[in-house]
Amino acid sequence: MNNSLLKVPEAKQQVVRRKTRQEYAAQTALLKRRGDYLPQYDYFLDILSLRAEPEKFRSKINRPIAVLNCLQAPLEIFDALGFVPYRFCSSTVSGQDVASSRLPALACPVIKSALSSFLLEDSIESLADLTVIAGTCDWMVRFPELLEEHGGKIHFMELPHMKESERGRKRWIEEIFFLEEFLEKESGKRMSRRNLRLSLEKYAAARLALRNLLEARARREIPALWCMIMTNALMMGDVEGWTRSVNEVIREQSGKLSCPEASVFLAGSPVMFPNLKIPQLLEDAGIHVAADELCTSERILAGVPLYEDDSEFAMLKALAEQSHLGCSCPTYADNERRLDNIMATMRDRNISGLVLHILKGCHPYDLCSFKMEQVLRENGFHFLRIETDQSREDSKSLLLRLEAFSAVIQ
Amino acid sequence: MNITNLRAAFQLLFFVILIYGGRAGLRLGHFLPCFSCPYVSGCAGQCYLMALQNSFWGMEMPLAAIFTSRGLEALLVFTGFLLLTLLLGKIWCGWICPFGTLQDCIAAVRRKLGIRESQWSWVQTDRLKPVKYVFLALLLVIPLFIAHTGLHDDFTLPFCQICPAKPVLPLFAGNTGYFSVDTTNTITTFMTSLSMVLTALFLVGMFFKDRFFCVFCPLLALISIFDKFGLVRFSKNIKTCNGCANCQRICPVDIRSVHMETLQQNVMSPECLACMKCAEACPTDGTLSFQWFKWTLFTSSFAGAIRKLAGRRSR
Repeated sequence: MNNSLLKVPEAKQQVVRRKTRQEYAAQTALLKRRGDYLPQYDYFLDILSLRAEPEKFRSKINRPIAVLNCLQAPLEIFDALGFVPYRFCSSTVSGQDVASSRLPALACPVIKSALSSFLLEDSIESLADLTVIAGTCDWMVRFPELLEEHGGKIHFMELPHMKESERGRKRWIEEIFFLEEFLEKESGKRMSRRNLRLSLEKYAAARLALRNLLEARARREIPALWCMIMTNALMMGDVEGWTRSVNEVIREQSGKLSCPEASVFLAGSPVMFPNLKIPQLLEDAGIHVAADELCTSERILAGVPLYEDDSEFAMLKALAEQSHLGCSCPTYADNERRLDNIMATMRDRNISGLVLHILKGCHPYDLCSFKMEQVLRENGFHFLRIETDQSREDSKSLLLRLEAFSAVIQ
Repeated sequence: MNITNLRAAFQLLFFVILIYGGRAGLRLGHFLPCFSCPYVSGCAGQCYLMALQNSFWGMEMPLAAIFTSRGLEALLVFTGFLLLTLLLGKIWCGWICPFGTLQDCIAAVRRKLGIRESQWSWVQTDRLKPVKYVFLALLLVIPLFIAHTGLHDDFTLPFCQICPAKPVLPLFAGNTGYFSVDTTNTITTFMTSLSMVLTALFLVGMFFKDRFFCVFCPLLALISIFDKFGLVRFSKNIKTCNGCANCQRICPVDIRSVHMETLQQNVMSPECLACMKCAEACPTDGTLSFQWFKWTLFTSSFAGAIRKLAGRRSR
């Protein structure tokens, strides 16, 4: 295929760049005008805004960047080999039409947005040193092919969709070792036990901070919208800075109730800065998200990858199993525990309703919504399914539905 | 509470008490549900397996003999064993057994050296499960053969003769005598040679695999028969388990039923040693818990699990 035909014209790129910056700036300005804004949130807003200014991000980070699509590729391995793991899941709408002509009309918006970023010449995705893609859903399985024209070093991880079987587990452990090999080759470094252990400890501190943050949110001390912004910022790779900043916010907000009483569990497709349509609408409807299962929020660093030996194998196995078995993504075939876990969390946090957010084209979440509704209703929980995209066109109708749901759960 | 450190302290304490306690006049009887080896001179109490093998030996009519002094003594010893087993169950294995402690020490050396533990497939693990019951059956049957079929007396205490604890634990009392081959006759030569070979194999196995001997331990098989009636319980909240398999990965004997169980609360399996490492590693609050009678001994928590991960550098 002639790459020049697929290249996005420079003029178009400039327009997209300008619009993307505006999108980020508008969202940031909106957030800073809120009554509950704290100066401590600046760290998160600043780091998230770097996505619109890739050169600044590059100079600030000053380490090789590995972009990845999913938390199933354990961040600790990247960190231990000197890479900054950056999650390329994106939700800007400005650039989506860049990728539209190369994707089906009903393609997942996350894929549209992410592919657009790769097609732009000076995005973080394009400036990154390598790309790692885990084959979570069908869209992601095709993603390496979509990136052919982009070039660069791409490593694809074959994700076994049966996780409770021995062969599925073994396969994923093999994939984790292949990833290590790939990263070693690209970095020119050998993995050391010490570095891997230090990374695990560094991320353990982040896991603890995340847990404390989520508990503060459940206690209604931290608004769900800010919580989501904070968790999103973890996708930018600065884990130590993130941990420090999260702990500062928790300290600052300790004991201060600042959220509505009506609480829901938010499930479904990921929500990413700057497109905070769903959490903003929930807030407008007077609903607090006291718990969620989004891979860009509560699940972003789930669990604790514990190991016994100080051997490299033991640490990698722990990371592999944590990212595979500990993940409740609906792309898995054997995922029976997910609904039980959601309901246990709802009971634990005294939540009576669940909002399932489905991005049009996000089939795994869409397919499981029917069973989820049935089981939740059978167990006495309220359920609301929202199917939307990243545009703002349906905001009013969604708000009406959410307000009605708010009245029901109260 | 850091269960790893607490358990290590208990293990060390019981190791000292059981190996050297007899020198201070401590006599705990010969019905202990753990490998407190009678061949250790000055030990405080004796493993029940020896008494069990002895109680069948020489009884030509076991049912009638039960009312003789020897039969009553055997019954009394069994009652002592049963009471201790019902009282503490698998805690004898995970927290008290000196041979278990020794295995944990050997594995700790491997961990410090950063050598990976040997990995067994699920099939291999399942195939090895019945071996401990075979040992248990043999140690019960061979004395009966001696009594009833004229099997040579030198087969007396068949399990003790090949048990790796016999040559190894006396070393802590300064006795190296059991590290030898007895050439008195063909049987003693065979049995002591077998003992040496098995001891060597087990020592190597214990280095590369946590609690390697426990996989084959007939005493564990015997204790597990009474699991359902004991005061020690191991339960799981199946609704909150997220299936991360930390419990299986951390388990010294690779029990996967705790992780896989999705229907029953009781997850005490015959292989479980009640070391509680799984509960300590479980990152969901209250999912795994050990109870004694109506009191909770230990329950899982995110805080405990993350502390264990974050605190490795200081360990």
